[in-house]
Amino acid sequence: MSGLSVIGSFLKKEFRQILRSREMLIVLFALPAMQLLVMGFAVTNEVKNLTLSFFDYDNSPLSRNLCASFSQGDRFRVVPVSQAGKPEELLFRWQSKVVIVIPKGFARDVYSGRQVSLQVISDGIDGNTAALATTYAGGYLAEFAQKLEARKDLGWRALKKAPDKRINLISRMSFNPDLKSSSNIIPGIIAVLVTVTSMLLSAISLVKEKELGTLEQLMVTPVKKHQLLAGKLIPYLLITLLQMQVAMLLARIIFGVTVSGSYAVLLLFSLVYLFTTLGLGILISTRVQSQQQAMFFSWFIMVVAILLSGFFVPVRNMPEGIRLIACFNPLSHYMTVLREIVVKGSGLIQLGREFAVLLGSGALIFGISVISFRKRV
Amino acid sequence: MAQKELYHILRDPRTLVILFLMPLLQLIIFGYAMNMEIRDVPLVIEDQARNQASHKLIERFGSTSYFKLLPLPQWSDGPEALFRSRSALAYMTIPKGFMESNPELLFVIDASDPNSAQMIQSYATGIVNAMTTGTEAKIDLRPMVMFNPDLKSSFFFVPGLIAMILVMVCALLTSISISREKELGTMEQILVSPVSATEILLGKVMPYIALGLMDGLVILGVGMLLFRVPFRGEFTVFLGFTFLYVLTALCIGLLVSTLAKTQQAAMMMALAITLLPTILLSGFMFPIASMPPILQKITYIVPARYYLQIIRGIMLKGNTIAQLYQSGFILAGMSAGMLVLASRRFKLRLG
Repeated sequence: MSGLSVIGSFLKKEFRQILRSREMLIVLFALPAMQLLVMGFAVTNEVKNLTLSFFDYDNSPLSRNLCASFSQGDRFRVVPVSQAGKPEELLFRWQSKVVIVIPKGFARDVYSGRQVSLQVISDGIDGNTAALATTYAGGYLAEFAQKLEARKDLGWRALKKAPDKRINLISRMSFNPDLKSSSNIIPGIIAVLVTVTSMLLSAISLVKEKELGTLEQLMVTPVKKHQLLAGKLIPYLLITLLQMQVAMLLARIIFGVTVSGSYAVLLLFSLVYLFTTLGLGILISTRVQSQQQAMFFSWFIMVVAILLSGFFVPVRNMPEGIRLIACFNPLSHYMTVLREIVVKGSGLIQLGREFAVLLGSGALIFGISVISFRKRV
Repeated sequence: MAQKELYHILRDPRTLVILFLMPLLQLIIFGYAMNMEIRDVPLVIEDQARNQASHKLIERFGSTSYFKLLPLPQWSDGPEALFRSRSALAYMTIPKGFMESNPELLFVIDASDPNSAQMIQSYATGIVNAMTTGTEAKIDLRPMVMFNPDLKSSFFFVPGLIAMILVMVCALLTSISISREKELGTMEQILVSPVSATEILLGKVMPYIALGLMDGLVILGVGMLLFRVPFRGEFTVFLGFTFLYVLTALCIGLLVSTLAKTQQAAMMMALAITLLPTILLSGFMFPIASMPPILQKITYIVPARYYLQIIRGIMLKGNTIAQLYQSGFILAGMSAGMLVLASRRFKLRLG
């Protein structure tokens, strides 16, 4: 038999096995749908509907107006509370996450142009939320103060007009004017999906043959190692690419996220990246004895790779040392590529560095894995 | 029975290493790397005014640690091209006659990461506002952060990781272990022996309880020593609630093992029912209040949601039973319900 026809018959057998099992359908359709739906909606760094309570010791029309102004938008959800006890108690009893204390004489001081301080007490358990809460509160307050100066809809005594020295900062949000977090998260989810599917499926498929003892049978046949690997891996490569298309279609339907760059470039990068993940799959399969171990191993790698990929937190925010480690994380580069192509429509020119890195890591990891696969047998 | 199970666990040192190493590694990454705050934002300033006001403004932006000023490229194709090449995240244009005839500043931000974009915007607004004088309404904020004044992310993640590892060991591993016995047919052999069903189950789950608790305590210890995470409440209260949570996790594991036919299926189901919700839908990382209403409703059936409140309350707020009994009741109710369901299915299968 010629080399190609050996691979061909392998492919036939592998595809038959795959298509026979119902699990593959789940992998192809249910998994991307689930991940996109749950992660797409749950994974967000946005902070919304923060529970906020006021301790309004002033209780003037102005202070009540201030309280009401915080209900606009979806940043805060104002929770009415009894004004008895201490404000800190509310946080202690999990009743609200933020408390704003308006001191007595608030309105009088504002109108007489004296400095007034409002205390914002936030629950620091989630540091990120607490920091954002303070920032948001500052924003609401600034807006309130501006309205007050402009005497708009407050129906109150006009303030003395300030000397007009205000700088008007006009911001424009490039690529994502509505600040939708999905356009950042969805490419990330797809990158994770591609990694998990290809790595886990190839590892488990190889380990299964090992567990059942059929791998040894294959080894004594005149089939060459590269034919065996090609026959095993090509199906999973195709399945992963297919699954990716399903995920992108769902992303478009559910979240309205479309690829603004070239689809061909996206596929090219994915193909190159898959050499890394499939190589990792082979490597795992040579190191473990059972499917369960393969699962745990790949999962372990995944967790670390995801955390250091910039999926949740941009890599540039991380401390120097960890940023250096993240440089060696192929998932991080692939995720950057997906995001840049999907959101900004970047092409090969802008992503040249990533291309080189992914090509290198693919060659390296795939090479090592093929060699170590050979050695074991 | 328990001894045999313990041998099984110890015979597979790789899994054991992963079980201890993974949460520790996660703890370290979370503690050091999960920093939402963005610093040194690369900013390109195009100064068309070149007057005193514009120089002052540029100096202000340059003197903070928020921004890192970059020279305007020779052949600039506008902000979008710079953002595409990822050499800048923000681009400010100071128009001709700035502050003389024109008080406007154009500030373009790369919003492909909307969260960072918002933060960059608020930094810029802050700097510009600080330069503006003569605001009449002088209202300012005195922020005060309770329980975690330095806003350390480790405070947030240590309790979460404990909740995660407990579910992983107690629900995931138990369900796999029980369904393995079923798959291999050894469960039936044990069942015909004179050992009672309760004894079998206890024997099977005990080592996992011990393993999970040990793992949890290691994380707690490392978190307290390495990251100085406080423990403000009562340790006994913590242990009591943790035991309750472990019970709930075990009940999930049992239920899954009665539903799944093979190890593989048990693994998939346990992942889908236990681990993913614990990570995504419990408030472990992502605030529940920010989720869409349907997902928020689903979080009510995730046990980790309640345990997280309990453990964060005890460790960080110094809560006592008085603030936490409701969550405790819900956990107890959940385990009771699942236990009934699981034992029914268990009997059914054998009968």
